[in-house]
Formats: sequence, C-alpha cells, structure tokens
Amino acid sequence: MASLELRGLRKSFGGRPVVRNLSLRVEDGEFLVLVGPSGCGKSTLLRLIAGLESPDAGEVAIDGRVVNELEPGERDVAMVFQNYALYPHMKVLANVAFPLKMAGVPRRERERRAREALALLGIAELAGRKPALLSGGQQQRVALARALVRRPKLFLLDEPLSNVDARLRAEMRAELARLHRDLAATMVYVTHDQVEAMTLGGRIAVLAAGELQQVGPPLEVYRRPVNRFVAGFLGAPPMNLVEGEAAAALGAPGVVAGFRPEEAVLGGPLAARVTLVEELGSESLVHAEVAGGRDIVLVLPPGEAPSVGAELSVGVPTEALHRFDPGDGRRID
Amino acid sequence: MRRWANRLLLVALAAAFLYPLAWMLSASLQPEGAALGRPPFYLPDGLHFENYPVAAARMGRIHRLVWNTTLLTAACILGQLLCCSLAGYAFARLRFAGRDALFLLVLATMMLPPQVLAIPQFLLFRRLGLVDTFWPLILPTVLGGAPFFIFLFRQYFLSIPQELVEAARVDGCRAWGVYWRIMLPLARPVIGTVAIFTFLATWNDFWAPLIYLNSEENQTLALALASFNQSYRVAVEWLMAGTSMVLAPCLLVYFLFQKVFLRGVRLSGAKG
Repeated sequence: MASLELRGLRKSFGGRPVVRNLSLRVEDGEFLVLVGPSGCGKSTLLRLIAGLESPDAGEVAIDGRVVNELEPGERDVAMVFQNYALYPHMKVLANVAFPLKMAGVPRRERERRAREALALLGIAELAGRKPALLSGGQQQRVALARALVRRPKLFLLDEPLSNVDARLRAEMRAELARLHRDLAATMVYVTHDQVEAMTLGGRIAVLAAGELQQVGPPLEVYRRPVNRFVAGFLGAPPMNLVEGEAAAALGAPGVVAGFRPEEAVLGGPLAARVTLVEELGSESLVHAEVAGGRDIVLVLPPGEAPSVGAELSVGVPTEALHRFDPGDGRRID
Repeated sequence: MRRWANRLLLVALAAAFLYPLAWMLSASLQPEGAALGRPPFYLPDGLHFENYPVAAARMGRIHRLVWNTTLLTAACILGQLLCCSLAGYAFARLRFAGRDALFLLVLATMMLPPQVLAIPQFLLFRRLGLVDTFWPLILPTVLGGAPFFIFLFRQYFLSIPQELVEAARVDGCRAWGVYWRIMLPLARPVIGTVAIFTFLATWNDFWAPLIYLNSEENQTLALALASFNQSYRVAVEWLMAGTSMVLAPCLLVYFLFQKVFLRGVRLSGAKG
C-alpha cells in the first residue's frame, strides 16, 4: 500500500478547465471519498491519478515517486469502473487473472491468485462463467476481484455502485468497508452519492467546478461546512440556506443563515407556510416557504407533519445555526 | 392478404435471382453444342455429367489452379484482416493529429473506380519486377486494405465501450495489447464478415489476375475459365460446367456463413 500526493494539478478540455490547481494528500491505508456534483471534475481527477489522462500542469506522486510519465499499467494502481468494464470475451477467471497475465505472472500462480480473489469476494463458483451471464452485483464483485488480485499500491473506484439497485448498494457498501479494513488498502473512491460519501470515507474531499472545497472526516465536513456550496451539497435533504428577513429572524442579519432540516424545531421566530409534505414512513419531509419566497425543508417525526397550507413558526438552536458570507459564501465563525 | 402478397413478391424475386444459377447448372448438363439452341431446362438426352471432367481437363492442371486460387485468397483474407483491423483501430481509438482528415481521405478513395488505378499500379509493379507473381494481387491488401473494410472495423471498434480500453490499459496493456487482446477478439463478427467478403471477391476475381498473371503456372481458376472462349465460338456447356465447379466453394461458404454475411451487410449501416 502507498500514499498518494497530488500537487498543483490542472487539466482542461478544449480550453475549459476541469481540474484547477488541485493539491491533495492521501495517506497510506486511507479511504478517501471524492464527492461532488456531476461535471465537477472528480472522475477526471481519478483518471489523472490512473494515468488515463495527462495533467496540463502539476504532479501525481504515488509513494513519493512522481508517476506523471508512467503508463497506467506501470503505476501499480487498480481501477474499478462505473460499468464494471469486464472483458466480455473472457470467462470470469480469465478476467480476474488478466492483470497478472500482463504482469508476466506464470499461469498456475495467476490462476491460484485469481481463485483466491474470487473466494475473498464469495464468488468462487462463478470462475467458469462469461460476464454476460452474471447479475449486476456479481459483475461488480468480479470487477473488485480483478482490482485486488494484483495487490496494487492504490485502488481507484469510479462510482462503482451507481449501477446497482438500492438493496445491493447497501450490501456492497458494507462489503467495500470490510475489504478496506481487511486489506488496509489505500483507496480513492469517486461518488456523487451522499450516503456512500458519509459512510465509506475516512475523509471526504468535496469538489466543485474542478476546485477542492473542503477535505476532512465526513462528520466534520457535515457539521462545519467551510462554505455555502459544501453546506448545500452535503446532506439529504441538504442544508437550508436563507437570507435577508428570514436570516434576520433567526438572529443572523446581513448574512446567509444555514440550518440542517433535522435540526430545526417547531416553535420559533421564523414564519413559514407549508407547501408540500412527503411522508417517508420513518420521518416526514415538510417543505415550507419563508419570507423572500425561499423554500426550506424540515424533517419531522412521522405523524407530526402539519397539513399543506398551514402556517408554521420555525426555530433553530443557536449551536445549529451556520453563517455564511453573502458575497463569497465563506463560513463566518 | 398483405402477407401473401409479400411472400409472392419474395418468391418472384428469389426466382429471378436463382434463374441464372439454375440455367448454368442445366446448361452444364447439356450435350456439346446443345445449350444455346434449346429452351432452358430442356434435357431430352439425359444428364451429361461427363462435361465436368472434360471441363476440368480443358482448364489445365486443375490442382495447380485450385492451389493458386486458394493461396491467393488466403493471403488476401489475412492481408485485409490485418491491415483493415489495424487501420480501423487507429482511426477509432488512437489519438493523433489529422486523424479524422486522414480517415475522410481513406473514405474518399472508395469513390475511385479500380480501373482508374489499374495503369499506374501496373507500371509500379512492373518497375518493381513483380508482374507475373502473386504480389501485385496480395500487396494492395496488406499495405492498404479496402477502405470499406477499414470503415467497417472502425465503426465496430467505436461501438466497443471506451471503459474496456481503459481497463486494459490500467491492467497493463499498451496500444498493441489493447488491439490484440481486447479489440480483435471482440471484433469477431466483423472479422467473419471481412473474411467472407474478401473470399468471394478474390476467389471470383478475373480482372486483376488477367492483368498481372501471364504464365500458365500462375493462373487462377477464374482465368482458366477464359480458356473456353475459342476463336469462333464459346463452348457453353463446358464453360458452364467449369463455372459451376469454380462457383461451388463460394456457394458453400455463403450457405455455411449466411448469418455472418447478413450481419456484415447490417454492420455496414452501423452508426459512428
């Protein structure tokens, strides 16, 4: 396993910057989740690390060694792709053994290791099948086995769970967490899924428009977002952000006031009118309009949701209120 | 009603296409000099199968002809497959300056009729001292290939997900490894199509062997059929017997690989 360091990385496509002067260090054995909206440059960043794209400027260093000039196959990294990218003409065993074949490992040895990797993921019985005959979850496991068979220095995972159904996603999340723990591997994981980011990452790095916004442990980023973007991006539903009269009512005049939907309480200084109620069973999402026409969302226990059109008064505990600069969006402490 | 009308139309079309083939077989079984003077398929004297050995004897050393034609066809198939798949791969997957312009240029050469190239090409091969060898027939396939097949390979390679290429690169393949280990095995449908098209075109080719192959020992089957043209008349029955023999492998290949052939026709309309 190894550390990863990105120094001043830049990448543009057709004059449009996709990664802007990005520096980041991932420690040996760490699970870092890159999270951000579509088009923010997170997949490009992963491809730069893998060597599938060349940076316009900056350096990629794996274990202290700059690898900019190395081919992807020479960087000793393994990558799991969104669509699994299993070779359709090869059986599962051959798919998993393929990186070892390219590395010149003798046939018997590579088959043994491929079978071990398949067994580790609980799919040893699929060795003789072609990928087309596997379910999405099985294909995902084969892709993981192919990544870990060569014991790379670094695992790169590009939205690997985005194509599996919700139940399987939860299962695979747990599997990935277990694999990371067992292998003590350095992993960089790209996702736009908040739950994956919050549950998997030892640290998360939030990206927007090719720039790193914040890096830190998931709960820290969730609780103390450094700017409006991070505040509005993390969390489902995301943080409520209000300005003007509504912010002043909450005791934050002249700034953007933010509060998590689950931390708001009924009974307080902020007047709101209910526009929509979504009953989720375990909780109710109450959408309401506040002064200035802005929408907010509240999470209330089931059965406590008011009806549509009802007038509410909303309160936010002082410690749950975040303040952001209305100009550059930075956090104000 | 409409279904029956469609069927009737298909039967009529099939009959129109089959007629020359059936006439060829019928003529090949007529006694000498009878084929042109009688109504088609009229065989009052029985079936004259002896026309076939006579035709084979008239064509000359039949083993030599079959060997020459097979060798030439096999070399052209291999040449086309190698050259067109490599060119198609480069146009589909490698990044280099002027790639698309070059591809357009390759496509533009499809508009040149082969007759236009015949004289300059002949002069070139004569200067190289390769006339009356198989090289003028093989080299153009190895060193250029047919633009249509390049197009076919390119379109097919474009349809293979880019992620497979990237996975192979991360797994340790370079450009050649991606081509050889991933792209080519996945391109089996196109390989089959190109092989069959090339087989049919080369096996039946009369024109290029006529230009380049002079000596008897280098003759191909198609050239040997020309020996039935005599000064004052054509030995139609023997010619048809010879043609039936030469055509038999083509028909066999077509019937055996009909699905691949039709898939190739469909592929040529693939999106890009």
